[in-house]
Amino acid sequence: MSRTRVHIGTTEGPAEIQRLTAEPPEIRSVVCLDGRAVALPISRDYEGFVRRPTGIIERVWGGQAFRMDVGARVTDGLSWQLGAFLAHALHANGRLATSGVAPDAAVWATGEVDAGLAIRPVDEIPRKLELSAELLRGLAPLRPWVMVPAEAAAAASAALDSLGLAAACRLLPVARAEDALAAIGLVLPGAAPRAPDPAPPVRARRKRLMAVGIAAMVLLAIAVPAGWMAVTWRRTFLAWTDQAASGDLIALDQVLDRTGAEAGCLTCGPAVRRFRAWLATNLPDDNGPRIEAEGTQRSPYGGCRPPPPAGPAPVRAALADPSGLTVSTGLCRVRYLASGAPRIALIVSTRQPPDSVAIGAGEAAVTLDLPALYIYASEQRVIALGSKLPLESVLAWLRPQIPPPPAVLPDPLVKRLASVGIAARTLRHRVDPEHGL
Amino acid sequence: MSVAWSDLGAEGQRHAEAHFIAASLAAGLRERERSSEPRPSFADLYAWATDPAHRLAPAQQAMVASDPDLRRGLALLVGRVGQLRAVAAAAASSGGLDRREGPGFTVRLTASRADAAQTYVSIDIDPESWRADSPPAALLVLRSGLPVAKLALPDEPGFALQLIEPTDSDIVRGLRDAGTDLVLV
Repeated sequence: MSRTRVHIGTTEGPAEIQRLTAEPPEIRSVVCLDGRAVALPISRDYEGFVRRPTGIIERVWGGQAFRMDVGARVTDGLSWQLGAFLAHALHANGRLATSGVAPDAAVWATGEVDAGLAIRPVDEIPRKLELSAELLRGLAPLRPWVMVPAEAAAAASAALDSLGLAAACRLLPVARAEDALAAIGLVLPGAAPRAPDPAPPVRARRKRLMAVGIAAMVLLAIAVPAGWMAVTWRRTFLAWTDQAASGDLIALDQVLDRTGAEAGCLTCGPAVRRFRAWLATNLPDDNGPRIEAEGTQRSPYGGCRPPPPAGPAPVRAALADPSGLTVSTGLCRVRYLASGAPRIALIVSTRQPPDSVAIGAGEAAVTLDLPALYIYASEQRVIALGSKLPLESVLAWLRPQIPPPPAVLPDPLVKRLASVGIAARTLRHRVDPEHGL
Repeated sequence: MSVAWSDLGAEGQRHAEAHFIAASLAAGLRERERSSEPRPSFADLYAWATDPAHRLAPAQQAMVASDPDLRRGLALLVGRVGQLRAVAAAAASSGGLDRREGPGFTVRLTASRADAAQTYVSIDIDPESWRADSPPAALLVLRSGLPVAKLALPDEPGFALQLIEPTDSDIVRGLRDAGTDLVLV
């Protein structure tokens, strides 16, 4: 298999692409200098060139993060893109001549590649060729490709002539990236979209028959005596209501899910929806529990005493919106208070387990003594649950599923709780140290 | 009777700051005349805590380690200039950590597949938690209040930073060490 080396033409001289390596996807793509731990400033643009949604490399060949080592600095601009594109194409086909591997062919390229794979013009091509003249002379036995944007064909041709390199190189003006790939014997990965299979007429007829059947079943269901339904559902509703009142809400949720999905039961779905609508009325009236923090300021002498009766009032704040972070300064003790629903549960977590938990009627409070390390901040995650229904068994079910702080309660959990009449709110509260002791 | 800092007003604070700097420099000069290995001055500690490029000489580091006043001074200083902090991680893992988290920021360490001797250091900062006007300039690594290493951060827009560091460098070793504290300044 032939190996091709790629050189990027820059206004500071040519830069050889020494190697390409797929890196873990959590890394941002990076361009490094000569294998060293030196990221070049174009790395940010290279990340945008590689990764979707802007990146074309991931779109064409896959891979979210790469490290590209180059032999010389490439400081700015986007004219490195054509060379990088070709290097990725060769890499994907196992044909990139990496540093230390003798190449069978060579490409010198300059040009910008847009999202549609068109090659955009770049500046100073004669100067770039002049600075690369020595390299191109050295590569003459390989008759290197010199690839430039189509608009620069005349200028590049003239420059190669004046440098005496016209015969030593193969000038290729390129309008599209595919032209450049074709020159080195590559093509874009074929990814023609498949047209959806037309549904066979038999399937359409079967669908129509099914629709007719469903309509007939609905009519049949409507014809079921209303009295029978009323008796059956009244019994079921009463059982569910008892279960809700006992606080066994998660088991009830599972029963409702099963009942709603029962095959062949036309009335189950509507009944479950109606019961869930009733459950939702158990959510607190004023959009969920409120959380307040009442803090005691650390004494300048290191103690943590509540203020004397005539002294200043403790620091008090309603904690911010879940998207935000409330920050207080210099507190040594905080009392978190949740209210705003007939039944309240409060879970306060720091980075050191265990959590502090309180359940109450109308309000619940947790008091936390903060560590005395004077240079560090502490962050508390406060989760409050509010409902008109008992919360004890839900809390036992919920706690093992709560991610460690500082993560907030995941949306699916919040939605599931809401579906059984429980409002959940997560807030974050950071206490910074008091400076200037 | 003491006067609160805030009572001085802007002009008074500038005067006080100028006096303090002059006194600190004068003390440093006297110390340099007296000793071949001068005790780090407040200016040295301040420079270490705020200037990404400033390094403490090994002898100065040793003095900080052995002098409780210097240690406390440095701790107070770091506490004052530091914007975000992560305390030593719980000793739950016997191996090196590849993720450190503090309120408002996360540091991830990822070995390069291209070269295992190099490690990516990715720092993600919650912009809401960053209250300074200027972007973070350095990541300090301390153990029990003593300097271990410092990472100068690139002057880039945004709060997602990525650097590559030698895997055996003090900074990578310090970040992997569960017993160190991290402070972003």
